[in-house]
Amino acid sequence: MRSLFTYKIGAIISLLFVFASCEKIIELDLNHTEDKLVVEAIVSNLNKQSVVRLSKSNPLFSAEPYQNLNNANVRMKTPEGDAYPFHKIEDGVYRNEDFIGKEGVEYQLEIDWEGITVNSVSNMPQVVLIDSIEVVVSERGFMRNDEIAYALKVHFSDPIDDANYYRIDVFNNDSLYEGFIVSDDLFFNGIPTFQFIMGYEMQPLDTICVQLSSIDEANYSYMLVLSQSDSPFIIAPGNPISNLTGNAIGYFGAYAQDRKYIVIPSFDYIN
Amino acid sequence: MRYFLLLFGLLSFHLLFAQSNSYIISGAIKDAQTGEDLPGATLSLLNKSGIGASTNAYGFYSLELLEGKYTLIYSYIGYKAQSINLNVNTNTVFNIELKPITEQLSEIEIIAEREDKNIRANEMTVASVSIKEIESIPVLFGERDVFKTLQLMPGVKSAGEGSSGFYVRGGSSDQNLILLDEAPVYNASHMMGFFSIFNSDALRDVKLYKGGMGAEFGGRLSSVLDIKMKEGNAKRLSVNGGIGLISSRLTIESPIVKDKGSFIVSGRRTYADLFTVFSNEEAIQNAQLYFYDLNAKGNLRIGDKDRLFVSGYFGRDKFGFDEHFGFDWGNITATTRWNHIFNPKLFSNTSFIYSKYSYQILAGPKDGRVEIGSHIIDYNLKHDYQFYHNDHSTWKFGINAIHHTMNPGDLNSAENELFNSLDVEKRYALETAIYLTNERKLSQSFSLNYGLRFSHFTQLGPGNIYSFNSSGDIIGTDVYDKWEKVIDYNGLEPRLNGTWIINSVSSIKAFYSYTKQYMHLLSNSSSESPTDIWLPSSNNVKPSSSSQFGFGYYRNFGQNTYEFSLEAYYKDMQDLIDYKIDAQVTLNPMVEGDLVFGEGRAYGMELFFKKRKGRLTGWIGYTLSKTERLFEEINNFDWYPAKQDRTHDFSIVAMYQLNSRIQFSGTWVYYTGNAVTFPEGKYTISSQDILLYSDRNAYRMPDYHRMDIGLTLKNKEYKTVIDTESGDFVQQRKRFRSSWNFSIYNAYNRENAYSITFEPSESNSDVLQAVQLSLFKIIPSITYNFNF
Repeated sequence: MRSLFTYKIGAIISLLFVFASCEKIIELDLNHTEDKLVVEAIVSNLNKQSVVRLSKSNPLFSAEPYQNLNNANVRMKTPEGDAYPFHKIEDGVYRNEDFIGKEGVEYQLEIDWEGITVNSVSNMPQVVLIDSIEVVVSERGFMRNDEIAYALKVHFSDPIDDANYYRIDVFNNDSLYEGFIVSDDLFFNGIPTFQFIMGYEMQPLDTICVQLSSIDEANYSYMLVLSQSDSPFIIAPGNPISNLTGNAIGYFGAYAQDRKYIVIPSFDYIN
Repeated sequence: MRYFLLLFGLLSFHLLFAQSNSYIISGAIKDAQTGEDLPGATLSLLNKSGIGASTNAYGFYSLELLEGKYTLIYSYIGYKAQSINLNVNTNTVFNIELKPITEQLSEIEIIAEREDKNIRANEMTVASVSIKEIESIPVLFGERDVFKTLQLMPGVKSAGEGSSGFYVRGGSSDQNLILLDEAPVYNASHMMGFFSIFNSDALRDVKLYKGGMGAEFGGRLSSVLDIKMKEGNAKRLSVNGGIGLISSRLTIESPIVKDKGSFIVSGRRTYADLFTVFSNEEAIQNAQLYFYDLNAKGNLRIGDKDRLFVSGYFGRDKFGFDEHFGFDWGNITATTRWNHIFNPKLFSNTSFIYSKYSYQILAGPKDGRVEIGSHIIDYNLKHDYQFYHNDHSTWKFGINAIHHTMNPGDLNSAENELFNSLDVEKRYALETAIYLTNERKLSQSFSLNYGLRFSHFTQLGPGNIYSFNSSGDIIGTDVYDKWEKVIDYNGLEPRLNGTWIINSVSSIKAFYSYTKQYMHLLSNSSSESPTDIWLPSSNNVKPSSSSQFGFGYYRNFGQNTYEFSLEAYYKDMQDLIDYKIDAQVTLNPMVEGDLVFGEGRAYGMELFFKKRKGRLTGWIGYTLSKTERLFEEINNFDWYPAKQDRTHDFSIVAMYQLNSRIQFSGTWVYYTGNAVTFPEGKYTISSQDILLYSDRNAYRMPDYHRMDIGLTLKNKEYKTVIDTESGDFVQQRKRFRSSWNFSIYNAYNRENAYSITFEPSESNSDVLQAVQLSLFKIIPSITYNFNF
């Protein structure tokens, strides 16, 4: 919720510049760094949701799609010593069909690719379930732009012990909306609360899936920096702290997830 | 402490047993038209160079002379000097009123005055801008502004287009001590920094110390901006004001008791929100955007030896955006001051000051409205003495105590308990200091200003005080009672300034200073924002400190028509604060765990050339400088350029008086861009493009340059009347005078970069482009000013 305030302050400040300002495209001469190995790895307690995605970074102004990497050796290890190999299923996507993550277990990721070795460790927290999802409609739009807009209130109850960190992903008919929503429990430790999700295009009869993941602190820190990285009002632009060791960027998280679905009601149902 | 009392005792003894045949001339020097004090006015002696005195901040002077005959000359820049022949054989009080030079008096010969003050004065690295200069220089939207004018001096860099924050010699903007009639001001800008809070109609003096501050100042590392309000016209009612494009102002001054007391009330309000009506979006149409300032001051002389002052400032910015969002912030300061003249050699000032800065944010829809508020409140007691020992020595000493209360934020959410109401605990601290300085003339050519300041800072309870380890995890919480000490810090801050007067037109000066700063500004973004938090030093945060030394060469030409100086400095800073990359600053009771600590250094050279007399006046300033930072967690523990590291910074200011009614003015500024972090690559996470950033501040923004021009047209000041006695036509100054000011900001319409962001291209959303945002294109404005 704090990031929402920062966003609002930023949006308002931008309004000040309505009067006499202008934007233009410019040419910039930037040093190109070497392309890096990018790892996005999630272990989930939900069936078939654990996945490792490998790709390469691109030069900033490149028009090429990101190159997905298919010749890597990916293994997930548990403290008992079991090793689950993840095989390439699609371009750059590695899974293991029999693998399901468990709460409270510390998982270890190992990747070998073209001589680069990447390791990481993440402990899966306890799952926090979504209590309910409410659809909120504003006939004139939340930003008063005279378009009907929908938002969601995702209700859940934060456990009182420890610090909890959350990530919320929202899917519309299986496609993932852009945006990283993360939160710690500073404002709602131990009480039932909700996250307000707005600004996503939704139409009546869309099937929306909300996924609430309980994540660890390192993943929260990583996602928090990503969620702020496109705002001009961040403290100082910089790369998030990755929990991977080895010459790679990205993250590895063991997430305890819960999903709930809701269908946006058609207009007649809204008073 | 004991040494201090002993020294004080010795001085007093000296006073009682002064040399038997020397006497003291003392008094006040004031403006003859308004009764305002003239600080820095001088008393010199004809044919006796090297002996003299100057008035202090309250217009008081004191000079010890041996018995004999003298011609005393009182002078001040912009005023006609006065001379008095005197046979000195007793202590004498002379209160002098000097007449300002107006057009009618310009033919009369002016006795050489202290135009060579820049050579002689034992002050270096001071940028003084006169209020007249502030009023002539065209600035943004036609609004005169103290900060913007100061940014035209070498060594002072603006914090960015439109911003009135500033950096002095590589320091950050919280390292500037901004004093309004001795009250510290925490956030001196309106509208995110587009304007400063200082209404120049209410000001008398603006002085910026860039380094080498005397020991009477402390608490900030890089500069002291000492702003004094006018006292108010003590002779008659005077009104002046102006109506401009986006703001208007009105100032009323009047005597309370003629020549004994006066007051001034000055207000200013903007109405930028009038223009939002023209917007197409209803949301913007209903936006509120305004700020106001109100300065009020009164003073009264009681008898010959006492004077009482009361002054206050109230200002607020308000931004609102329908019922869903509101944001307001502002300062309140109030000062009560008592000047007392013990005897002609000993002057004291006692002040009690209250200062509050607060902001409030309201956000959210009606069910779930959230309020966030934050404030900082200071209670400050100052007691200062000036002891005019003899004609070659003046002592200053005093104490200062400030009690700080900081509320970093409280969050109230009404109705639903969707959030816990959160109160980040208040923090309390006591900052005290004691100082002693001596200004001493060692010989005709050498003088020295040396001093010592001892400062002390205590973090106080009540509260739950967290302790963090170096990774930022909490390792303990301790509970403290009210007024219980958590931790304290001390500092011994020596200051030294020396002047070698080579001849009547040139001098060399050098300085060294060591300063400590106990209050730090945590900035939540790469530019200043009203929501920045002031953090006191604590068990987790050490005070910052800085050593600075430098020297300068000063030369006047053409009988003080031209002034030239070259100054060079080196500054290092310890225990500076920055954030971890994932820091949460808003409403975080554990923000101290998100901080990292490091050091900085800055060095540079400043050239300054000024023409002070004639139809064409103005100056050229150039700064060549570097400022860097070093933090273990940032940039792999390598030195990196600070954001404000601008290698070249150049400004030209010119004012041309065509005739008595028309004045042209123009400025041109050029500086190389800020250091900035740009992305060098991109990658994908969860199907989004993520920017891959370079080393911290490895790039530069494009160069910035801009020209502003202005024209002031005075309506006729004189009317022809028939003198009733002689029957002749004479020119009489009109009571109601007015002028028009036309100005153009960014006269050649350059699109200077305010920010550069990386956005998907419109034709192909997979491709990123660099997009430059410029804030201001060419902006003309008109202001109508009047006074009577």
